[in-house]
Amino acid sequence: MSSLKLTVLSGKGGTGKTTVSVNMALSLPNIQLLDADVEEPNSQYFLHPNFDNEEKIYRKVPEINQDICTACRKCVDFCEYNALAMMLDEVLVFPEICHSCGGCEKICPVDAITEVDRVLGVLKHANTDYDVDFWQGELNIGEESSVPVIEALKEKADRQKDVIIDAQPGTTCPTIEAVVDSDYGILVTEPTPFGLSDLKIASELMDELQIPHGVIINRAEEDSDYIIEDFCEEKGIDILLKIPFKREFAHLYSDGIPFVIEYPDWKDKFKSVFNEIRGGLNEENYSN
Amino acid sequence: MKKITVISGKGGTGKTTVVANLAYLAQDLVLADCDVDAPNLHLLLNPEVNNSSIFKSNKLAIKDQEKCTNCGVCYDVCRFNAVDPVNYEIDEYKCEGCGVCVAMCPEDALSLKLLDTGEIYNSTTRFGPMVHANLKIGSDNSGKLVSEVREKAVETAEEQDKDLLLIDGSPGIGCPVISSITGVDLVLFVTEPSKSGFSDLKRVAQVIQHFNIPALAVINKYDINEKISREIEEYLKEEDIELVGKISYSSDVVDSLRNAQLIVEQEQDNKVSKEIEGIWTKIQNRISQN
Amino acid sequence: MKIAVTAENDNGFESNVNPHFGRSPYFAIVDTETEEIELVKNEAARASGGAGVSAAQLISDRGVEALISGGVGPKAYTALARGNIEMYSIKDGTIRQAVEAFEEGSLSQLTSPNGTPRK
Repeated sequence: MSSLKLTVLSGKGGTGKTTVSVNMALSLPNIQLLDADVEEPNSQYFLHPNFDNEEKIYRKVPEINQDICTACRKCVDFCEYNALAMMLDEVLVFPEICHSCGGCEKICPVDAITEVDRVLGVLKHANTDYDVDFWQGELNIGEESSVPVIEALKEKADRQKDVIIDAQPGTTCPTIEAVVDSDYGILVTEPTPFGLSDLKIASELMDELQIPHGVIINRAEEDSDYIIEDFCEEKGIDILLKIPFKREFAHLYSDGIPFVIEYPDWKDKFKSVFNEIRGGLNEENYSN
Repeated sequence: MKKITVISGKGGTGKTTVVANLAYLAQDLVLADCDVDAPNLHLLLNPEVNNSSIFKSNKLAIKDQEKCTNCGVCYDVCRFNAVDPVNYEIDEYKCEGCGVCVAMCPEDALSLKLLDTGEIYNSTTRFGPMVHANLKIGSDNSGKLVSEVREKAVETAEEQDKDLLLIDGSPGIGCPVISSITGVDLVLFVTEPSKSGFSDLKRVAQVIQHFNIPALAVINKYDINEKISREIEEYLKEEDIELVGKISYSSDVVDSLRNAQLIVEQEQDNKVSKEIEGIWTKIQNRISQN
Repeated sequence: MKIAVTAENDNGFESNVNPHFGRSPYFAIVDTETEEIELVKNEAARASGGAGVSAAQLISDRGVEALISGGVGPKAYTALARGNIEMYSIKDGTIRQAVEAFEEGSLSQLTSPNGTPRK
């Protein structure tokens, strides 16, 4: 069986993405977990990693050689991001808002611009206690663009293993980057009007990206599940699993304890979900 | 007019629920939902949209196929992997509108186009005007749309002579959250007693600390983990952030949420209503002090 | 000399001072010798990021030597300082009041970025 790469995402923060990613990873053999929520990577609070490897991620920012610069201003006028300004015939660089497009260096008619490295973030690795191969991406505070860190993180995917990617909540570029070349997306939601509203957005995104996807309802309750179930039935989206609302689960979460450690029966459930997804995708491949 | 932004760092701590319930207690104010990526406030406040406007900010490279000779220069120069190496088509999600391919194309086949990035709504709720927005799927959230929502809300508050502007802030620690708090008088953190919640609270507090805006905090669902709650209280004291209340984790709140209702509006006397009323009183005291 | 005052609206000398710099809707450019005033729309306000830098470029390009505003963010502050543009602080009022206070010498100078910085 070929390895599976799936991304766990949600339109809204706080629905249980990390809960699902971590507990599922702990339920599977031969698994790698990539935490792509690089602004606030939270899996670490459940996996207690001893980081053994760190890789800085760089981006390029311009440096101006003022001796060669003729103050023609082409670079300032070109920059879409206002990262360059010209004051008293001197070109100033504001690297925090530079998008590293390389345009100014190319457009300078006298080759007065070179590009230098600037640290954007870092990737950290750990073989965790629970036998999960774990990579975490972190974006430095003050940096705007998560995408290059997530791209670098995805390169760490070990295709000899099954891979779970924990994405940033929402539906903007960093989330898209985390899911765009995955085999499958798990959308995590909660049975409230908030959960439904954000599930609709996430589902629309998955349709646009044409990635097969299913739903896990977290904090499920008999009285409220219909909010999500009705929508899923209408759209033909599978509900893979329901994790019930239990105060005990909430307490374990708050202490950074994955609930499958206390309730190992749940490992079988997560395993079934994973195998179901793999089976479903294999079927599709055979029929194509 | 006083402006308060409610933020959380981490999503799901109860920020929007707190904002909606405070709106009920305030009764007459202007509201802004700056969580433009996944707006939720409208689900509790049912605003009636009066007018809307299209928001444009992101740019995209557009190709004139007739001029294109498939030379591949655009692919060579693109830093964002937005050009397909085979058919040289532009990926609208990856393109950042930097203009390098436009400048480098030998055939002048490319240009930058300003895109519809979202929509801003001017609406009315039963507590007063509300400004909110939707960011189009896949759009880059630079914080600009958040700025616009906030600025429109300030304008509305001034025009209609309202005393209070309450802003449901963006989650996270980046530009959008900074745009949510620019120029406000008070920041209210809503946090939850979990390791990840506490960590995200520290991160967002660090990001906004140099703005020198007075800050208050609420610990929501505090009884899920009283040990971590106490650790958060210690931290708040150290950082000079006033704790204005703790809200219990109760099924009453869950019931209200499911039905998109406000807990403070419910008939029966309940613990959480009282807790939120206490929070509102403390906020009002702090506003009048400043 | 030419000075710039951040303005909320386009009403000549009676325009209200705007508290921020980068995204101020207008700049009132005043020639203190001729008393001529021009209300310039601030195109920098449209920017997704770096509005302060762009606004600094805008007023510098117009030969402005002093700026009066409520606050200036750190990047704009750096740009203006490098352009030798003096920065003065004012809380509110009209453009007329701002210019008069400037000419009297009663405005305090900004020696560091204040107000609310944005990326």
